[in-house]
Amino acid sequence: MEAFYQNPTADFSQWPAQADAHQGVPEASVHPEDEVMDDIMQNMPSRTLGRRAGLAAARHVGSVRRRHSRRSSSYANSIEMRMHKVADTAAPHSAVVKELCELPEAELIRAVRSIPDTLANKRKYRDLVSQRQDSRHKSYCFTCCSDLHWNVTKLLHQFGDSLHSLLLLMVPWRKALRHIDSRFGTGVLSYFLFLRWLLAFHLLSFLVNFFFITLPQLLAPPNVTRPSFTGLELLTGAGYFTNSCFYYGYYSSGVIHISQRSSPYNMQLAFFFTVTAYFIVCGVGLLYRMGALFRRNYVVPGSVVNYATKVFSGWDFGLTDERAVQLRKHNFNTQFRELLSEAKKERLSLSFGQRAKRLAVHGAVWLFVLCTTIGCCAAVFFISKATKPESDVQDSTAEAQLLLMPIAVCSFNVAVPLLFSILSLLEDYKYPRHYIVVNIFRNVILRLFILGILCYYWLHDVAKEKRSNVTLLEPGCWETFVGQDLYRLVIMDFLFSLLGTFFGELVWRLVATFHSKQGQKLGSHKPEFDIARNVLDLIYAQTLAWLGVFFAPLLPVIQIIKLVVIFYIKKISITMNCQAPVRAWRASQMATLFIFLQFFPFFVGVIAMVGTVIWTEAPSLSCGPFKDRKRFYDAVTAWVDTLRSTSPGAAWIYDYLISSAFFFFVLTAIMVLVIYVNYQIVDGRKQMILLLQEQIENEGKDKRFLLQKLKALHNIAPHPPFRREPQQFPAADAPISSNFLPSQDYEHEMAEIPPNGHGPLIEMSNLPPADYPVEPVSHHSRFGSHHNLLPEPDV
Amino acid sequence: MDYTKENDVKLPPQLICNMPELKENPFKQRIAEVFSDDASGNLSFNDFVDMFSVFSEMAPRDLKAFYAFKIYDFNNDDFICKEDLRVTLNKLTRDELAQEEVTLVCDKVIDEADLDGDEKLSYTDFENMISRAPEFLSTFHIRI
Repeated sequence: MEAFYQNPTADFSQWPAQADAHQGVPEASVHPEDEVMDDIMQNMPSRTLGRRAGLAAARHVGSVRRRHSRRSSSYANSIEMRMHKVADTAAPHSAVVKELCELPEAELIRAVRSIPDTLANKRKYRDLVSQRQDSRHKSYCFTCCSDLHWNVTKLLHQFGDSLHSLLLLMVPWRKALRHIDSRFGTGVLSYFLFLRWLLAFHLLSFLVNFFFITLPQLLAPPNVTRPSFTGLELLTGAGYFTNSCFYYGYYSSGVIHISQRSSPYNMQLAFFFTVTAYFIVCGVGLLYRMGALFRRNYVVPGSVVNYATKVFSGWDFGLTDERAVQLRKHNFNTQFRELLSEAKKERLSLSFGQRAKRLAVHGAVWLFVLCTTIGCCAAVFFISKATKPESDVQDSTAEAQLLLMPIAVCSFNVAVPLLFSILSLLEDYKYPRHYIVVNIFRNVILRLFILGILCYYWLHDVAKEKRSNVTLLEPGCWETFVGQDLYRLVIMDFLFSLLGTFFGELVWRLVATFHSKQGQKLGSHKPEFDIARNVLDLIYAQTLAWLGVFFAPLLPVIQIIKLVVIFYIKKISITMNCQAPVRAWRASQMATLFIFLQFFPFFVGVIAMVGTVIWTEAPSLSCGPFKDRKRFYDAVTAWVDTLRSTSPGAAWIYDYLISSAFFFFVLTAIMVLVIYVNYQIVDGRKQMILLLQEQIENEGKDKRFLLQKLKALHNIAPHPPFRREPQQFPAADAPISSNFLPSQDYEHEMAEIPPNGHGPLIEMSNLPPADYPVEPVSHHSRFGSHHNLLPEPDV
Repeated sequence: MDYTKENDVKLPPQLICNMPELKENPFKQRIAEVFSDDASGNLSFNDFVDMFSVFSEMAPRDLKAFYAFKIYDFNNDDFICKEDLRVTLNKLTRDELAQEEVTLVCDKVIDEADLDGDEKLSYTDFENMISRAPEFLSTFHIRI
């Protein structure tokens, strides 16, 4: 690696930019005057940037620092000046080390990582920087306390780093995910990554609920009688499970004593604060991830680059399976052809009649979607009302009837979106992307409405009716009934997704295999993994689990088991049955959309529902921790009342900050103001981007103009002015730049030099034709020896 | 051949290109060349580690963009010109696109990404274009 420092040009361009020679800026020629021109061209700062590795690194670090600290442009100028001064020193990396020393600790690691240099050099930079920081620190610190502080901080950072890398290793299923990535690409992988991320939420919920709510109660169990166990309980959640720790109704009210000597444990507050804390953590986690994804994936609207994106970031480097790779290459063809044909279509503007027809079709389909959704909701509502158990008698047919509602909900969730997607084939969308997004929205609307109607049913029908019946424990407990309903929904959702995998993928593939025996190509008929639908299923299941946190504290256990089983089933099914997705799935943008959907309608809806229950509903009179209160929330007010005597400060905070509307009004006003100011800043920056782009174009034109003038000053015959018309530009067809061998040009031009010694006009039309044979010819020259990098024939 | 004791042990590009992670990659030869010291494709152990660290999940976007630019710049002139684009496209589509279509796509790419109008992409143009392509981080990634 020492060679790297001594020979900075080893890694980068060996030749000066010869591509320019035939691209509009007249250059390479034999004449001595042209040597001056070529030297000037070679030493232009934009060309030498790649060649001086140390400078490139310093520039990177400087720009990282600028981006993070937003200093003024004068600082940027000072960096440039420093770079030029150091340009000729023997140790270009000292500039980098200087830059790095001034960064704070947290930024240092990130800056070192982003230096475009070899790992060995990066380690050297890091060691040099830490040596310098140590020596600087030693010279400044006088007391042993600050020395100790410095060492402790360093140790903490190192500990944090090693903990972070250990956590990365402990994440489950790495091998399985790698296998999926290599065969199916990043789109399908994003589904499995999302599943793994959701598992974290459930684990947290389970741990929190178990340790704070269930465990204390299990240590001091109430006396309850339970009916005998029949197999039906696994599906319905009623019967034997009703009075278990699974549901809200099991938990005793007030204060429990775990043992004789322990302090009392207030079950009401435990319930309330556990649920609140869990939702706050979930909300913060979702917001954080949404912010991170948004920041990484935000594309300034109006500056979409379709072709460039596809060419440069379309190929998934993680694909290693041969069939998948061949399929992907074939898909690239299709996609490019589609893009080109879309471009042609755009140029034809639609007539008014056609536009009206398109709008009418859209409107009709949306109307049908809304009517179907309302119909499904009404059906679910009436089925729920019809199957509600009338009496308190344990009756297995009545219990089995309870399953009708979840079965209806799940069937609607499976069948109706299929209907919607078939209908949307009738519509004509400008881009295929819109088709996917619109289908996702319709699916989300259907699920939201069904959940909404269920929440309404629970709050208004179940709660009001059951509260009045105080004779028996079990039916008087509306919260337990809601918990049981949720349990049934979760179980049915699980069964339906297993059935869906079975029929949608296995049976389809068997049918396709059977048909293919009659001579058709198998690969094109294998089912594809529908990423959007599966991700929405996951989000819906997550919502059910969130709703159940209050009513059935141990529901996350079921959800964890369900997620693990689904992971393995989907993985096996995909490997056996599905083919790689045909259409490119923009994983990052879709991930942003899905997390936004998860947060905004679903999570906020859950918060609204649980909030309504806690604020306005009255608890059951005969079961659960809150049975002696008028509202769930009264537990907190009662506790704050007791606090008034012991710690008036806490009571003051509660009175004036948490329960006062004025405080929240002021907070909301401040947030709206901040949002408005940020929006104006973003607007201003968009304008600046446009101005800067114009400026760059003008600078490019200026550069070409000045180069022309320079040539003219050196008495070279003026070249026809450069015009930016790419289609007419003959040099574009000459693949000379791929194999730049000036010696071939010399031979050609030598023959044309007129006797008066003036250089030839480098006419574009004199260039060798496009299929000039390409051979490796080594040649002496001021360009130095170089390697021949032929374009690699496809293996 | 004990690479821990002798730092100069280098693997030939044929061996590198036969690795399961790179075997089906259309750019495998170019990747080996970019990460080798002398652009010949022979990788020492340090070069090998560099290669996989750039392709890993933790590598920052700037680093990946830098090396991606070098990979796509087939003639090593610090610019991605139309010929480089043509070669890239042919590798991506297995030579199935017609020549006019290839030319058209190359022209459109230059139109979209070229800021200063010199008909080729400099590193700044490339970086700017990558910042508008959020898929880049997830596709320029080899899992090991």
